[in-house]
Amino acid sequence: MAKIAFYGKLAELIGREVEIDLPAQGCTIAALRSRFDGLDPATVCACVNDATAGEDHVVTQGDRVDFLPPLSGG
Amino acid sequence: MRIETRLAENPFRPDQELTSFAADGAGAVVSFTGLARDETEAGAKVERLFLDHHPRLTEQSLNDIAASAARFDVAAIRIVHRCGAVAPGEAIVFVAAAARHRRAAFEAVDCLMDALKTDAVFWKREDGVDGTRWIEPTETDRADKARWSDHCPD
Repeated sequence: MAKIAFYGKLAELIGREVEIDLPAQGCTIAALRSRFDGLDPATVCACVNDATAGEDHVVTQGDRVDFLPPLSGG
Repeated sequence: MRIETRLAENPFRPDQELTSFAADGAGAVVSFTGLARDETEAGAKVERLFLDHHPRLTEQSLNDIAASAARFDVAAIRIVHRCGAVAPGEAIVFVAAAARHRRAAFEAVDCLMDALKTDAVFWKREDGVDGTRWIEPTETDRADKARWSDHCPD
């Protein structure tokens, strides 16, 4: 199980947070993106446990993943 | 350099933030307050502004931005930023810098505001009678921030 959180426009489209079952070997960020609409890697940043993660990063049980759309700034 | 940042879920008083902001030996205090506008850039009425934020990265970004003012000769920085629902006319952001001399304080606040406009971890939505709109930084915002890169390289 991993917690996936969304912000801004993505939270409206998908929801603030979902929990998903992961395969035993984990799941890459790229594979996670494909489970949802609107997670274009060109514009939506992925973070795992508060650190930026690349497309090949493997998400494992208990990780917290955030998908961040472009910032609005303050 | 002393750094004070705060994410405010409720309205705050910029005048009180300024009054309580002090630094020993400072000869200059400069502050800026940003207010929620009641119209979009296109002139449509805004009923409220909503600032979505991340439970940890948003405060981290405020701290990182405040720390970037170390390039100036300032003694203290304070940043207060609202999150959640903000009504037109309410303060969204307060930035203050204290320094021995005015130039450093002016520049620090100006630079911090430009950094906040592009790098602060917020997602802003304007809610109006004609619908809602998520806001992204404009080219002007990016150009404002870029003007500090030559002057004060990281």
